[in-house]
Amino acid sequence: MWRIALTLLLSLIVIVGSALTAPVEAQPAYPTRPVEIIVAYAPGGAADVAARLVAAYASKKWGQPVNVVNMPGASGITGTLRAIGARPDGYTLLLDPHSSSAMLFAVESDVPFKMEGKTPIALLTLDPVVYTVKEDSPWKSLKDVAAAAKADPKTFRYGIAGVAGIASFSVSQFLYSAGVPIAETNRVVFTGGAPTLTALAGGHVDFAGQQWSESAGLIQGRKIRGLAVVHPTRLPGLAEVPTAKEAGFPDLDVVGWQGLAGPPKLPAAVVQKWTALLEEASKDPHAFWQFQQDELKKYLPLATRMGIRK
Amino acid sequence: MLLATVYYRRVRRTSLLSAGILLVLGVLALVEALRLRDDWLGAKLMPAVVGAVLIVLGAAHLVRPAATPEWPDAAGFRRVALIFVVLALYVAVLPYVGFLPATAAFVLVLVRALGAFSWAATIGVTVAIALASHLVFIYWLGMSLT
Amino acid sequence: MDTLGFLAHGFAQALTPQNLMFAFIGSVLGTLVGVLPGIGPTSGIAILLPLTGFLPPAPAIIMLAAIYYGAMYGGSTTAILVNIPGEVASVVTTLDGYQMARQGRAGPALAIAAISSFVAGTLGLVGLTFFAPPLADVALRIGPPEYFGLVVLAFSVVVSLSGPSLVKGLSAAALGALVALIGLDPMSGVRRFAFGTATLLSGVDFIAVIIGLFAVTEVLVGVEEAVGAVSLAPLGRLMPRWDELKACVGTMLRATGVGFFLGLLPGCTPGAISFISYDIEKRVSKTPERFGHGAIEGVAAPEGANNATTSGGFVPLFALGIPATPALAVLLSGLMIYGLQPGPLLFEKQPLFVWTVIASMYIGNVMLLILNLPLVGLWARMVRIPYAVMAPLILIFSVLGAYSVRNSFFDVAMALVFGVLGYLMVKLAYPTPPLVLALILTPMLESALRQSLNMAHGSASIFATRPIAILFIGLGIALTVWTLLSRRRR
Repeated sequence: MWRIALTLLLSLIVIVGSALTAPVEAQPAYPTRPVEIIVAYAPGGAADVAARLVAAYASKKWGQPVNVVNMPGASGITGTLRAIGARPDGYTLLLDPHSSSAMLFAVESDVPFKMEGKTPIALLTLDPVVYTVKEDSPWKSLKDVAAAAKADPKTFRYGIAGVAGIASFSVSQFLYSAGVPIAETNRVVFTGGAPTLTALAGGHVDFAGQQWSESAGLIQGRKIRGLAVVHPTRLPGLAEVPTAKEAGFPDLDVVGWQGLAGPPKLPAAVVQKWTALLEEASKDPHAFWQFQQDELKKYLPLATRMGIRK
Repeated sequence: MLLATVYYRRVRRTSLLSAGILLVLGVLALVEALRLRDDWLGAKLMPAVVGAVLIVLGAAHLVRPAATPEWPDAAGFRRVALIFVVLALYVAVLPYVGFLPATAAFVLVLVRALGAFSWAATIGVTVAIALASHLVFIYWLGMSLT
Repeated sequence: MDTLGFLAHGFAQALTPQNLMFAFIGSVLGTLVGVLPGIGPTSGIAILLPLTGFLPPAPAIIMLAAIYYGAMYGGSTTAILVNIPGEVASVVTTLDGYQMARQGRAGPALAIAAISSFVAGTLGLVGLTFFAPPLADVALRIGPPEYFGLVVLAFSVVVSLSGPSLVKGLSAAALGALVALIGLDPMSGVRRFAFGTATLLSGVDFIAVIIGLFAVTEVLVGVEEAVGAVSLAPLGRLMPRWDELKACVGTMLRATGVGFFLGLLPGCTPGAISFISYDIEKRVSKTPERFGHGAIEGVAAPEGANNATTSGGFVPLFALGIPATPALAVLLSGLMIYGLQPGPLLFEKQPLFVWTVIASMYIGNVMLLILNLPLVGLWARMVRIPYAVMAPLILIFSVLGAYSVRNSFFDVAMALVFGVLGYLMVKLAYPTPPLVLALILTPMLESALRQSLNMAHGSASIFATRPIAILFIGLGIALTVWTLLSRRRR
């Protein structure tokens, strides 16, 4: 299941990469009126915050308001449908996260839109998975978890946020590669990252694999402990947490991300304007000083760099 | 047996109607619960429980006699129906015609129907309300209704 | 430095003219936004967040917190005046508040709402000040089985709110439960009651339902009865009588307790908490039959509980970095943009910042009181506006409010549908509060139950090992039985 997701993810990155190499056309200055970025999720989540940060920066640079419009519902399908059905003039865009892209298509067989039915613009952020346990858990490494789960699967409880969410992939991938009999374990489904990790911290479940943005606060506050991060290198701010490779599980590769996209047939000039802005933003220390301070560690890489990840 | 109870207690028409609605909804819920492809302890649980409860309550309506409802007089009913139709029309045309014109028309009709103002006052109120709400919602809060 | 020392420092910072001004502006803006139906604290903060963008961190946070409190208060104003709850938490305020307005007592209702909000909010902040870290740990121990117990307890309120006919009350509740199930199941992603359409997939939005059931229904009823205005009763005094105020002291204290402690628990919505607080008042009152017909404690309780819940909600937010409600989640992202890193280390690493924010919350509470008490007279007069003007205004607000939640016309259509349903329910004497309560509680009940069962591979034995959960469930059953028995006696 995750292999399909991964293939789709990589193909998306390739698509983005080729979109970025499209030729620039002469265009009247865009934008000339307010731009809307549709976020298909409720305010306050990782997707929403990413959109607002980008919108704030773009507004300042271009002098035109860039507004975030929340259209939550149906796991992101509602808002996504609206955005890709809009006129491709660059004034309605979509905050495109992993949950309404590759992962959604991997899980659902009849999504009302096609994954290629949009113009990808750029990858905005990467949100690596962190495998976590309670702070005073006896398990000190992923190998401990695997051993315990194999020894007594019926008492092993793990929490995930949504059956089609990132944790469903990240934790299942881990359990499969560790050879744990998943059918005998207890999977407890929560409605979001925050309730999942709260339950972990309170000892109601034993293991979780949510995104960094969701986990960092509790890890730094010593309520939960990170066992491994799915990333080529250790994460800043979590220096004592080994990478999945160091922890003995080099094949784990589920990652969360947010991107920016637009309706199909978006003019290349619009795409180019955004990618130029985002590249500039990643080099502008003042604007992104806040980023560095946040728990949401934001990279603003260009897709080609990320294509070399694996 | 049930029919005998119904007849004997002279159940009101409205109770029958309510019972009917509840029973239909309950059956619907149970059917949906059965249709779903998930564990009984998963997505099927609550629809099944709620469906069963609805059916029980529907039956309960038949057993207990209900008081007569106070239906409005003809004039009252006409007013309610009119206002509701106007409201529905307002909502229907709003995305196509634009906020200001639709709202102005809406307010005009309502004030005319409900109040005993002179034409001047009616127009005045209409303009005031339409403009004020446009300013607050569309201009200041930036809501886009297209 | 110890807590009090930090707090004193915080006050010194917060009381600068600049920060005071921003607290004021935030309170005003928040109240205005809260008055608009459907635009509650969540959307309010999201909308107003960009305004704070040009400010340095401390004033920006102060303004955001003031907006939050203001929005909660604004919602009660319309709840009392025109039966439109500004957000979920104000639904309960309509039960007695609107009745008081119709009796010409809008003034005392608004006043007690302001006073109770202030008292409970401030006391709650005291709790936050001194007990945040240990309380946060207690909050963590509440897991799915305990939540289930709490929701069972809350459901017992349905029986108490059913009015004369238990069957009708339960039917309303069952309807509410059914509506809550429409859409995508958040845990398993299975589509329920969607009948193949994409719109129903997003479920029926709660705010749209209450706008329909309360605002639209009231207008339809008012139009049918050809009322001249919301209330033509002579406007009495603007403040509650002294004996009423004294009676409310106990109410306010109880509401603070309930609101603060339940507000600590992430996921416990303010709507449910205000229902519980209202029910408690009704039970301890010597004259419970007044409730629902303009009992002043019926306004003091939910209003106090709301603000105490707000203060309680800040405990997991600051101490654990976990937002208890969506509004707090937006606030959290606002805080993070300004460099605040909520979490257990917050109090250690950034004490001055935190205490300045907390101090300004105290000030915000005071400011709201000072702002709103004089305005009570102005607001109260609004109930005498001719209905020909009021009705269109209410309906426009309803349409825009329902739309604004998710930028969806489907929600507006739902508001209309529930407006008609509400009208029929009023005519046939079906009580609406049970429907609303069931709508709020059913998702919580479902997720808590399923999670609990998942923890033990599907067996209910999980409950046997959790004493707190058993306690709550037992209390819920006991209260239900007690209410049923006391209804028999009457």
